[in-house]
Amino acid sequence: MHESFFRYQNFYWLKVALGLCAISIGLYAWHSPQVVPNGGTWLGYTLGTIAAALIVWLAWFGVRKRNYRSSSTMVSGWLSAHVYLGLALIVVATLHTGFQFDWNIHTFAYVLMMVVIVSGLYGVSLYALLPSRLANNRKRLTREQMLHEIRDLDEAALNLADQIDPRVHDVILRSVEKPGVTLTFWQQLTAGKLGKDPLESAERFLKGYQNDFVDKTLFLDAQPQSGAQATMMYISNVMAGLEAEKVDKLRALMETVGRKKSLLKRTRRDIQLKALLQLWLFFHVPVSMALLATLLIHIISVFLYW
Amino acid sequence: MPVTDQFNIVIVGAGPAGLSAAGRAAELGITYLLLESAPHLANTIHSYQKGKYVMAEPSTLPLRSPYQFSAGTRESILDDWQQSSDQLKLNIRYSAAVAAIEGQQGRFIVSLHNGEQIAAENVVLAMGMQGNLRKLGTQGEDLPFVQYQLLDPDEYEDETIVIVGAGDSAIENALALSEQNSVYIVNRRDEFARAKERNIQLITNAIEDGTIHCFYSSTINRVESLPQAGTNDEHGLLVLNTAEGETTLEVHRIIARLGAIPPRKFLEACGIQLPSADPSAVPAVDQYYQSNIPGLYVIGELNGAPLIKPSMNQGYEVIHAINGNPVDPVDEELLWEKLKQLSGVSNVAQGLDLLQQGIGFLRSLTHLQMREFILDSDLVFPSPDTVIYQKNDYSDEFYSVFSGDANLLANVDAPYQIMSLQPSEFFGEWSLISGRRRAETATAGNNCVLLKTSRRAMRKLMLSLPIVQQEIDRIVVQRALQHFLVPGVPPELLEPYAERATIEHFKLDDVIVHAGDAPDAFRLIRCGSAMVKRHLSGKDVVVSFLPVGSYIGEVPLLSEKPSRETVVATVNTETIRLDRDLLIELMEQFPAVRGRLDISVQETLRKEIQFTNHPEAGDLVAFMMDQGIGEGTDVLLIDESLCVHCDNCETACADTHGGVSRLDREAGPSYAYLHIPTSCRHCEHPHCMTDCPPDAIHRAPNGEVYIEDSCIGCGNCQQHCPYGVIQMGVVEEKKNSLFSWLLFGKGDAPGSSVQQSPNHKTDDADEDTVTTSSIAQIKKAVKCDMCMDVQGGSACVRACPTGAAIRLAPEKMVDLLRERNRRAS
Repeated sequence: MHESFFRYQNFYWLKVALGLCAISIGLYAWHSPQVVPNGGTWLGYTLGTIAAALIVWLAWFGVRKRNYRSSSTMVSGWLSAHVYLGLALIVVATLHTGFQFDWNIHTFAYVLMMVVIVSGLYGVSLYALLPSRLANNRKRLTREQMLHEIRDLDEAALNLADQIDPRVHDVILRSVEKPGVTLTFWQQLTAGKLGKDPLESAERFLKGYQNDFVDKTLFLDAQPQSGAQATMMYISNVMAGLEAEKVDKLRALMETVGRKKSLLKRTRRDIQLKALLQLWLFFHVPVSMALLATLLIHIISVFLYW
Repeated sequence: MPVTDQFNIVIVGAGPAGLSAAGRAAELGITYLLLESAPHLANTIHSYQKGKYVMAEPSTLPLRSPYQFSAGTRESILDDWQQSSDQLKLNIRYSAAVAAIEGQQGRFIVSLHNGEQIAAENVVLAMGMQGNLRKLGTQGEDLPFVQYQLLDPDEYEDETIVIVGAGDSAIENALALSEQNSVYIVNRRDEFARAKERNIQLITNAIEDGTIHCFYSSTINRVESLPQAGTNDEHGLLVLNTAEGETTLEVHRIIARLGAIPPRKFLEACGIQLPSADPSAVPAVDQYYQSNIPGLYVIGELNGAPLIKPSMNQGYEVIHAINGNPVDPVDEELLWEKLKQLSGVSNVAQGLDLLQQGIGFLRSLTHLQMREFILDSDLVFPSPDTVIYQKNDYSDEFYSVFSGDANLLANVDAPYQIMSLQPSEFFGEWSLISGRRRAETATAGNNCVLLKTSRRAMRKLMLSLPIVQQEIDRIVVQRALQHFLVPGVPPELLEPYAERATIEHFKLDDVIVHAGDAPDAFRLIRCGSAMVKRHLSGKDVVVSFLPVGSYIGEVPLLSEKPSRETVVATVNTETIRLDRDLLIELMEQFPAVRGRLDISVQETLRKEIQFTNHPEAGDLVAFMMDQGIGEGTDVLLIDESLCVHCDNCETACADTHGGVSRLDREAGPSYAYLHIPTSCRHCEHPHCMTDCPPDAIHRAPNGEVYIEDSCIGCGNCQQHCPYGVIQMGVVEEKKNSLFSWLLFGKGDAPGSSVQQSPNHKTDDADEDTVTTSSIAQIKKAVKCDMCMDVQGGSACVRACPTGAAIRLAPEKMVDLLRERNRRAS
């Protein structure tokens, strides 16, 4: 059955990670070196070696993920271990430093590591929250189907607009020509309102147009007369006006534009959610690479200056 | 007019049989002349719809002819044959229709329509029947807008066309024409039953969605031409007798596809006797294809061999017979290879006879059917205690015991359930019928000789011979009763009960039991599956799902109350039905039945309570059944609340399968966070296997339905699959190192798709030559094979980083629902 990487084999890796933290903390508390606790004591070296090995192994996840023919383990198990052991690294590496921080390459390596871990935490939280939102937003449509439906609605809108008024057609055409699906990086991330969205202006225009139209149709000829006959005339006028084909078409057009608007909103939201699920990796991975390089310098320099 | 020429053999008709005969005569240096009434070779194939894919059946039969022939398009076959004819310098005369044949062996005179006369010692009639198409048989049948063939459907546009007929060619024509025209089809009967399953499905869909209009139970009254019709107006008037009375229709064109009949008058004028007055009766011939007139031979469709390959073989054989050195039938050697293993057998006929005597259900087969059946089967000689198949395997061969004995173990833990099979008995029938895993383990006994037959051959035989189907059904019912209802009782004891049980067939969405029905029958599902629905607070709620082996109706029967639920088939389903009295007799005779039923009732009630507490679980079942999970044996399911859309599953699939992913994660329906991607469900009776010319689709013992390399890329399976999971792709085994891609940008990223360019040509290649690399790029059918060749199992599931992807067998569905219920509450 479905088992998320958080719960992989009954939280196996969480237990391992907690065990590692507990042992590290225990040893740190028990250990009383002659000097201030630092990376140079035997415990410091031990924790440092564990932390360095962990960092290299965590980075190896990128390789394992792409080794599709590997038969032994599940990638979800690896991710589970990656997350929990990555978090354990906070404890192990911090204890390795002995809380000795300074403006040097060693602390820089530590800071980079923390940045990677925090970005990873951010990614994990996205993985936990966004999939359901993505599914809810899609309402069983694929991206392809959404775009297809938008095109259909555009066609329907143009067709209706054509039968109403050339001015209306122009406005709708403008909104169709700029569909507002291809977005800049920032727009993708925010899925926010687009400043001069032609669809918004088309909707505003339509509302105004409809009001004008209803005013004209219904009340232009209505003379202020009293009596039963005048009332009957008034009612039949209103009915005639309401039944006018144009009113129906306008109403249909408004509805079509409204549907497109909500669908467009969903599509943008979909783009945003998918972008969010992917973009953090563009930060997490390069910084991890930088961390690997810095880690190497940290280790070499420690041995050179020692 | 004087006799112009003298030949040893004159062959009439340059179709597959005639060409093959002429070619063989040319090779042997016999004087011959090939006469063809059309201005080109193979007129029947020539008149096929453009691009039609021609099959080469039966696939096990070897071809014996100077001409090449394998399944392919109409065009490629005609080109091949034209080339071979040129190479053989065929002595052929086109546009030479034969008017009469007179004389006797050694002195035949063949008269042509142009008056010319040709002398021949022997005459071979190989003209088929297509020159004598069946016409409407009513007034106006020869009007210019009434035609009996269709070459290129694209020629017609915006016309009103009526197709008459309900066979494959009528359906294919109607479907092709409906793209650009308004098409009606006239069917004499109230359903399409004569055509291939797939064509029936396509035409029924087209009629349902309104693309084609059908007149069922209708016949043609008459056809009239409309006076003063302009060029674009309807030319004719069709008067139909429909079930509701006479209907008229203005049409541009009528295309009648009513098949062909032998040219009776011509044959009788030649002196050939026909065995009956039936218009479709064909001349009787001896083993060398000689008719009642010595020296006058009849081969191909005209003697009842409608398929191309056997006709070509006959052409070859008839020349040898005339030449005085007859050859054995082409399959003789293949059969001998198999039959010579039997002790004491000295020739094929004897071996076939022995098998037919030894294996009961084969006795009703004709000589030719027997030959074909044995070609599709193998004799196996397992040593004692060899395991033939294991319980829960997915293998689907059928075994008949020829000699010695075999044992079936239904339950390994309970050895008293061993059943010993004697010669003439068979086993493996359960998987053949249900499409599910083996229900028992089969082992060989002493001196065991078995006849092993493929699922395909067995199903073909059962379709063509109802008596075989009945015999197998009889044993299926007996053993199913024993296995599922009365364990531990020898099947012989159950025989009187099994005889009174009946087998019922249900189509998708057919109601098996209505709510409120009196409790009059108990049913056991032997193939397919069903959903149980109950009407709760104004709507139908699914309360249970019943896979193969489940009972239907035991609760109402035991409680003696009308059924509260409606049971609906979720796919084509077959049940074994026991009437109430029969079940009660069984219970009285074998108390163990009551125990079985008790357990089932408890389980049913437990399941129902669960479903009723979580009505959404029922909706989920309904959704999954709609998606065909009911007939699947292993389905990929994605939990949308876990899926991060990384597509690692697709990439893993492509990387392990030659660069073509066999699943489309995003496509496919979802319900309640459960997504069913477009990926193979490994159906119990795979639709894709229905019509595979090279028989390249098989099921592996673990259940994987896979396509072998022998795929010819015809696309039949893709069209048959209702779930759209088969693609045509170019598979290329290439491996890139991750690091050379990562560090140096060499090659493609692992798992990226192969460039799909089937007509790839190298720069310096001539326009018309096909380079070797492009031959390697022929598209083949690809589908999920559950990573049967990859160690560790399905790559898609193993590569999923978040645990969103799983594979599930329907019998585990209850577990899935239980888990989701737990999560929901």
